[in-house]
Amino acid sequence: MPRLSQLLLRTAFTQNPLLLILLKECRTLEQATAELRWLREYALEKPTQHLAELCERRGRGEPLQYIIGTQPFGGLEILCRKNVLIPRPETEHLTSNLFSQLLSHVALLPRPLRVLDLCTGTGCISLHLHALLSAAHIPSVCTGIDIAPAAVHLARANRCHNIDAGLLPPSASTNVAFALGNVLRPDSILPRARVDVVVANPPYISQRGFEQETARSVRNYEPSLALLGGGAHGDRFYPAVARIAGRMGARVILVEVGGCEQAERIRDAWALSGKWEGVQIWLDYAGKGRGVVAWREGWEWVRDGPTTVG
Amino acid sequence: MLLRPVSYVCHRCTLHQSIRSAAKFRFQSTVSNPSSQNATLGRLPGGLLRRAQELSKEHRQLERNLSEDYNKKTATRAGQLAGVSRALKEYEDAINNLKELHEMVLDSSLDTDLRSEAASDIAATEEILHTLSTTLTHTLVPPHPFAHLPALLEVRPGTGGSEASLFANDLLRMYTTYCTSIRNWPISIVSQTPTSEGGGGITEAIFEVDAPGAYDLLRVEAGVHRVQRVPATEKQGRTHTSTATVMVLPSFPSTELAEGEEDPESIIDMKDVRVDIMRARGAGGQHVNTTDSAVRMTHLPTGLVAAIQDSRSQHKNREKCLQVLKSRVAEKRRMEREAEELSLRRGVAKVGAGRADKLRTYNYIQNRVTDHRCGFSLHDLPSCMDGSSLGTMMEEVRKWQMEQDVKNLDPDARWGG
Repeated sequence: MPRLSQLLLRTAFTQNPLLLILLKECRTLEQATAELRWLREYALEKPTQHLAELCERRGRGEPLQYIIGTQPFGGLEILCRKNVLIPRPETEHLTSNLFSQLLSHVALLPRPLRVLDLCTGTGCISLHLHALLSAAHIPSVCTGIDIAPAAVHLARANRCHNIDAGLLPPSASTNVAFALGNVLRPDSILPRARVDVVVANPPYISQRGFEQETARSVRNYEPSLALLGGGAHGDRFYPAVARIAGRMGARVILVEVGGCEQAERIRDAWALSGKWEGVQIWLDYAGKGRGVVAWREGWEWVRDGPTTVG
Repeated sequence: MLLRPVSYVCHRCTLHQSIRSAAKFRFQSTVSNPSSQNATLGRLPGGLLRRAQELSKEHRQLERNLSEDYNKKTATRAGQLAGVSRALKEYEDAINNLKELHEMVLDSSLDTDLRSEAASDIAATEEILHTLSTTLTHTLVPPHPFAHLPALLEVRPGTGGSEASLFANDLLRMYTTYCTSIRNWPISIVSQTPTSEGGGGITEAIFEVDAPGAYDLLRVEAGVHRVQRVPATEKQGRTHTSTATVMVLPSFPSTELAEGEEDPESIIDMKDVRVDIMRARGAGGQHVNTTDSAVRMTHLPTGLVAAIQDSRSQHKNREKCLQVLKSRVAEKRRMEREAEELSLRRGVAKVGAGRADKLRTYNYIQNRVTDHRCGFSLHDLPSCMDGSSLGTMMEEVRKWQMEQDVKNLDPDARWGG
């Protein structure tokens, strides 16, 4: 981490000494100011919490989402707890884009649309997609699978939380389900029924990437189970996801990936497998390869990402 | 104080004092000339009369069209013109009346009683004519193109450090109380950033007044507001002068829309907007978990930028950002249009007296609020700050604005465009 300039530290200190603590993690004054504001709002809601203590925790690198306990995801408020991966804005972006692609060919969609969400974590993708589809009057059934009991528990809590807050329609309690299952052992995944769309945000960071590229707060506080993909490049989950999608007759598969190199490896592997009619890489707003989408015949209209590469 | 007799004053000091006193005089309120209408003495200038007659003719034509085929747009236009038509008719009636009275006075065949009665009527009619011509001129002032819209009000501290941010907060409270308690308008805070040192100051606040016509009433408030008081933080009792800026923009509702207005969606084409999400460091995705949710939007054709970092939700920041950007673009277009209209008006360039100038002073020590445009002073500052007599202030400014508009009225200018 580059050293912060004395001038910045002095400016921060004169504004508010707490900013100095937050700067250890936030690195810029704007970000520290914003986080101080959110922490203050949270401390005002929860009088048992001391603002200085919260700032100390944040300064030590604890994710703000774990301290405050929530993270906005689309129009939803997702509860966050230790041992479950925090939803990322990139995932939100991919999900929203998948929805806008589905919406552009609404007449062709099977009803209800069956979605399988592998490595669901907080359940954010299933819940967000269901909320969007319901608002567009497209009936859908979403199933989220995760290996960690804590994640399945939290995903169910999120479903209740958002229904109670009026952010999800009450029908979500029957149409969105979460179950335990190991993606690497396809037999353990219960729904044998047909699915139309498979989405997954599996662990995709390699051991080397985990040590060198992840942020301190991710490495020290988020579950490595949800981060480390395994294998030389962290690609171990993708063939398993594709196998499950193939077995269940999915027409579209969308996975999140960690950068262009990984995206190209997955695309080439899937294109070679011959099971899919086409494969395409979706970029995120920073121009990095963030999603790989593959489709069967008749679903080629799903190909366009937020920004795509040929 | 300046003319106090002082012995041994050096030349340099006298010079300095005279400059200071000149500056003082310059800062005093300017009172507009109320006798601007006297020259016409109740008669409309030929150009304006011709303009009124044309508009009235158009109104008759529109009415005829409407009776045959009803059309919303035509009806709106006719409604706008009805006022002109009515005022013109009254004015012309009064003119004819006056002419008859003059004839009666000159007519020697009539008996003297009747003639003297007619002579006394002339004075009364002249007076009526004066008010009628004023009314007619006022109806000729084109309505503001966004007059019917809700407003977006922004308050920011100007010069004066933390005192300015405290005053900005006072202004914010004044406007919000005025809107909610006095006017019963629903308001919603779009963005409010308290100063990081705390203490009740703000570095920025934007709120929306969701009432049709709010923009028309509030737009006179836009500009630099100056405060003179002893700040709460001042320990030695010195008076400080600080400023805060108020911006009033028309707010374009995302769904509903008054008839005859351009479609708000057409105000910004989303293809022209570049959206920047300010998080592009490192590998992204699962590698980082920053909470940087700031959204910045750039409207490429105009180069205008809006940035919102208020909420942790990028989704909400995006919505707000677009709303703010739309208002800024609309404001810019409105200013361009106004500037264009202004350049058409014959060489009169004094409207609004420039954005940079302060328009109002809040003097806590003298318990006084003075508006420098109309020269009106309110000697009860607390009632202004709690919103209750702000309406009186705004009414005075409106009168002044109307006078300015009438002064700038060009008989050849396009009306209601």
